[in-house]
Amino acid sequence: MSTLASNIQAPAVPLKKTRSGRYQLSQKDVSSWLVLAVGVTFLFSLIFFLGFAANYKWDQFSPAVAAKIATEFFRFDKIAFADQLSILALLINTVILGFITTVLGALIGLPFGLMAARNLSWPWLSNLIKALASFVRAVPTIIWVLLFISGYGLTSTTAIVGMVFHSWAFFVKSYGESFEEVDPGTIEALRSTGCTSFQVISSAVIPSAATRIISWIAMRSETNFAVAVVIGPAVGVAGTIGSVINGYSRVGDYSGLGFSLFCVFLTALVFELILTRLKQRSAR
Amino acid sequence: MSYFREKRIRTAAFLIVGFLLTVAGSQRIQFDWILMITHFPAAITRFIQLYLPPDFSELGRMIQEMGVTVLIALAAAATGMILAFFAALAISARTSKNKTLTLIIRMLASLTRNIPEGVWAIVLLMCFWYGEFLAYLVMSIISFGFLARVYADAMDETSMDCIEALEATGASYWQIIFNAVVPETLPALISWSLYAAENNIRSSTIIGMLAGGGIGYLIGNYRHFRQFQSLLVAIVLVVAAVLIFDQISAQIRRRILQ
Repeated sequence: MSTLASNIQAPAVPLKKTRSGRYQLSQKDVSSWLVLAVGVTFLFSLIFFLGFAANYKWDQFSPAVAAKIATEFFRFDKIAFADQLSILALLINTVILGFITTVLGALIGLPFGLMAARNLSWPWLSNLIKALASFVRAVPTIIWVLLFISGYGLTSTTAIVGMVFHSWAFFVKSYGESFEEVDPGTIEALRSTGCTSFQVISSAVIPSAATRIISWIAMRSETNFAVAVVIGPAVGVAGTIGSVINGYSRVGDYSGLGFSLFCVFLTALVFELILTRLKQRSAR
Repeated sequence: MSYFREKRIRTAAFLIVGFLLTVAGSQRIQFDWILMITHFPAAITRFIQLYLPPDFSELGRMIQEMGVTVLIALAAAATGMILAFFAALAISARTSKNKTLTLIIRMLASLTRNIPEGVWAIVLLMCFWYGEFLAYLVMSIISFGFLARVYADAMDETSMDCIEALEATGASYWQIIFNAVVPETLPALISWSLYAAENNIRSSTIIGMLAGGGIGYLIGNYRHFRQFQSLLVAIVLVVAAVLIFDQISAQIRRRILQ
């Protein structure tokens, strides 16, 4: 009897009870319509943009520059050794900028992440902090940097303060989600033995979420590196590799541009490989 | 007991190394910890002085440019979708036929993904010119890199049964793709595309500042001409657009993926 029962599978569409008390067998399947509608919206906007809105004049495209980029981009031998060293130093600065921002965001985000986790805090506090974090996250990182220029001037402090805001919100969300997935039995067991909430957090919550936290940190380092590259040209904070890239593109030094681009690409690739490794480890 | 002690020592060493690295790094890039904290109230005051009250006089133009931004973001996500679909067919282990092609496409996707959007904008600016088309191009490249990876992951999760059953009936490669792989992965593909469009709207500020086109261009202009009160309105508009788009795509995703 039990084997028979286990062989019977639940219906794919769960039975739904209507208000009159009858069971409804057929349900409207919106999902396939929705998929179609979204797909059509995408395609329509593509056709509309390319056909009517873009009005790009192809004489603005300069094939000469494109050809020059293609031929001179990988001539790394054309750059002086001192220039290569200074590009590398700026690359290290960019990585440090991203690193410090990530560390600060991760540290400041930790108490707020605990407050945002539904199983560790009061519902009203959790909702409040989650709403605040989602608002801060909706403002692009570069805008946060832009807003703080008026206060701190064009220094690396500005860049860090601005980027920390966005990282903080990211960490609050991701920490909150990881903490909510901690086994409630463990927390309850520790509480019943008379542990204080600090002990519960330090010996149950954080250790069991640790692998996931580390992969969040790696993910954010990757994002912060990408942002740190572009704050130079976009906002004007000097001292990162982005300013050098912008300078080379203004002057038209394609080999220098190619070399610095290559450095950025390699660093981002290393970040991505680390992240993939960490994800595989936390999935196990 | 020694296990716990070892673990504690390892944690402490990790924290100390991290702390030293942070301090050395902040020395190197001249990041001022004390100024960051002590100057914060002054920074907020300065912000309030400069940015408030908001100036709504150019709201109409801003909304128009915001519409352009959303249009570009959707169009670029569509381009990325189409290109990434074929790239993912070449990358995914379920559907790939040719080892060299897999390697080439994988490298191409990695290249497009790992160069930040701002850098793409700077480089492409040299041979294309400022404007919406360049913004569209940059966003398409970014969407392609991102979508190729997640599409390939989604395709890796299709069940082998359908593919094998179709192979046994003698179906051709494209018949298998469009009758087994596409129907099974389509909801995931669409939901990732929505995510890509959302990312495009977010990065439109950077791209607009560097490459022109959409609301980002206006934001860059307001900054250059020190019209901070209009700048604040534009920023609020971007935030509103991101939040609304986020809500809509979350609703759609929930309906689709169930």
